[in-house]
Amino acid sequence: MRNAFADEITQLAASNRQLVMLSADIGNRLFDKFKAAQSERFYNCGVAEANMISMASGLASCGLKPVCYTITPFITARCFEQIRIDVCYHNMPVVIVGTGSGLSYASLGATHHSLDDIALMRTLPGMRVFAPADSMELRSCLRAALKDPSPTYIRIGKKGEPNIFPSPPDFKPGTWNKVRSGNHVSLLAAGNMVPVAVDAAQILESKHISVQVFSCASIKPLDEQCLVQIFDNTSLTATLEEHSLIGGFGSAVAEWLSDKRSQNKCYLLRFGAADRFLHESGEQDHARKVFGLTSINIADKVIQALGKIK
Amino acid sequence: MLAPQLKLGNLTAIIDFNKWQATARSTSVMAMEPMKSKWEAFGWECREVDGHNLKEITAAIKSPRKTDTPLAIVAHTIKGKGASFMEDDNNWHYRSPTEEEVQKVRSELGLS
Repeated sequence: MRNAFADEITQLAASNRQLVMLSADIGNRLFDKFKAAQSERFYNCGVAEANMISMASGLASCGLKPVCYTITPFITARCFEQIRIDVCYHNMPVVIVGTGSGLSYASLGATHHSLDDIALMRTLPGMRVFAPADSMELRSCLRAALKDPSPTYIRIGKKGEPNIFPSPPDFKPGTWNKVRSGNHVSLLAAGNMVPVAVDAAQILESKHISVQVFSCASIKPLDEQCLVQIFDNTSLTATLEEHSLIGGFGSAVAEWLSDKRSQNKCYLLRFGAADRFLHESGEQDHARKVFGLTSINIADKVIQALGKIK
Repeated sequence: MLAPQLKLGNLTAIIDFNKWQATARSTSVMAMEPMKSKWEAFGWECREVDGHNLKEITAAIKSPRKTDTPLAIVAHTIKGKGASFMEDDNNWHYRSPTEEEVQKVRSELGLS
């Protein structure tokens, strides 16, 4: 995804004179093409993320469109106050891109895990939160983020994610893309959990359970029309995310249910990271197993839950 | 650190240096001195002025400077300057003046 980001932002900068790229000493060679084409509009701000965000807000107040990029925990948790006050309080059109989100950098340890960024970013008034499923949807999210003058946080993976969309899909804040049709169970996946959801749906299909899958790239705002359809028409809904079960995408859906559908029986399962740091070291697949974020576990839990509903 | 790196010769920062922190004198909480050499160590040019003297401040801003270096002006100030019962009294970091006190300050400052 990060290569697609570098490519897309380079293309967008060619036609958008206001676009300015800020990075925090990351992406060795990743932005070479951008720098070659727009040397005046690329700033390596060093490992000083708080300063980078404040600087982006200043550039935005001068009419520019800054895009800030570095590893997720360093561009969210580390500089939360600057995002809250310098960007969001002034409603500045700053695009914040966190790379290696969730458990993408599992092997680098808890310092590089980001299981709290959705929670942090979605509490901020005016902030939009996008989590694209693959490189194609990332391109669509980026274009949408630069179109409107609102602060936007985009949570992306690293590289080598499976492709879900053959080309950049339609994307509007507050709308989700259906990637698989079905009528009994709905899997709502955020970001890089979409391929896992598709795999889980195939397992369930082999057991004659019809499953629809959505890529819920727009975490804030939620696709409320889609949620109404889902809870009206399918028996069970599950959310999937590489994020803490506290405050993330599943929490947002649960909040929506509580606020909007308290009169109805709605069955919601949430898959995400437990309330603990991951102290052991391992690759992303290992970390996903630890937190039950595998297609097999998800399919099993869905089957168990369906048994209870009946 | 980024400003000297980007050679921002058109950037000026003014420090309102009143020597107080929220609960006590800066020197007894977390001393900021030496202020001037700290800025210089980070690559800024630094000038010191009396923060209550507009002529000095204006001169510090307007006098010739290095073309590719940001400028920091340390303005030495006294918190509550000009209001006799407020000057250098940190209680006024927390208090709001009463209507009567506002009138007294206005009168001392020649505003009423």
